[in-house]
Amino acid sequence: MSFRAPQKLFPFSRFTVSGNSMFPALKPGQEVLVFNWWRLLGLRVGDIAVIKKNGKELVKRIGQISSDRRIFVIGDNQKFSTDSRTFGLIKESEILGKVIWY
Amino acid sequence: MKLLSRFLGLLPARPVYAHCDIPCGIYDSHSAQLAARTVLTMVQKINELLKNNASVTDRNNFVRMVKVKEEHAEICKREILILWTDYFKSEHLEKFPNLHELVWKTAKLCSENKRLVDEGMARELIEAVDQIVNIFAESKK
Repeated sequence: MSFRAPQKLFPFSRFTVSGNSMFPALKPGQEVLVFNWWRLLGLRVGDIAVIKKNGKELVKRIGQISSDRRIFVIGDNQKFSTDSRTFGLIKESEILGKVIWY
Repeated sequence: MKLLSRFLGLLPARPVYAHCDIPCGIYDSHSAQLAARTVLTMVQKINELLKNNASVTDRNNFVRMVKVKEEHAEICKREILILWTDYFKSEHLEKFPNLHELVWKTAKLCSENKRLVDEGMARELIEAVDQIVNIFAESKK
């Protein structure tokens, strides 16, 4: 067993949404509050999460969680979203936090 | 609540992206089609060149045509693979189950056309690209 340090010392982060892939839930320019210690709360299908994919921080909805804990994320506005349909399932380690307020 | 929002306001905000990689609608299948047709034209032109007593100009043209054929087979392959990796999604595969096989075959035809000077092969490439173009057009509907 290896010790896993919390990804962030502070439990909350604030983000400003850019782009339309989560419209209408999240609009461009809107601010969201993210809980960095998301493992404490768990993550369910339907939650919105901030993920890091290919060095870029993205906000997407959890579409499916497979039995091996890999996660399918998808934008609400599917026509204008690059998500797991393009880059595949993501790992838990690629999740930065759970959007808890927007 | 007021205190909470004031406290949260102190947190630095960073941008988080809810984007496409690039603005939608700029994927196009036309350049692959154009490249495939260029390959065929180059094959025909190479075959028309004098085989005996070729002048320096003929030999120069030969090299240039081969170069253009190479380049356009490569462009064709790249354009098809961009559609494959960036544009087509799993729902397209469900709708067009032969897409995977077709893209795979087309990419291989691009390589074959680099290697050979074969009109039949060039025509096969055009046909395969046209099929992808049709699927692309269909998926846009």
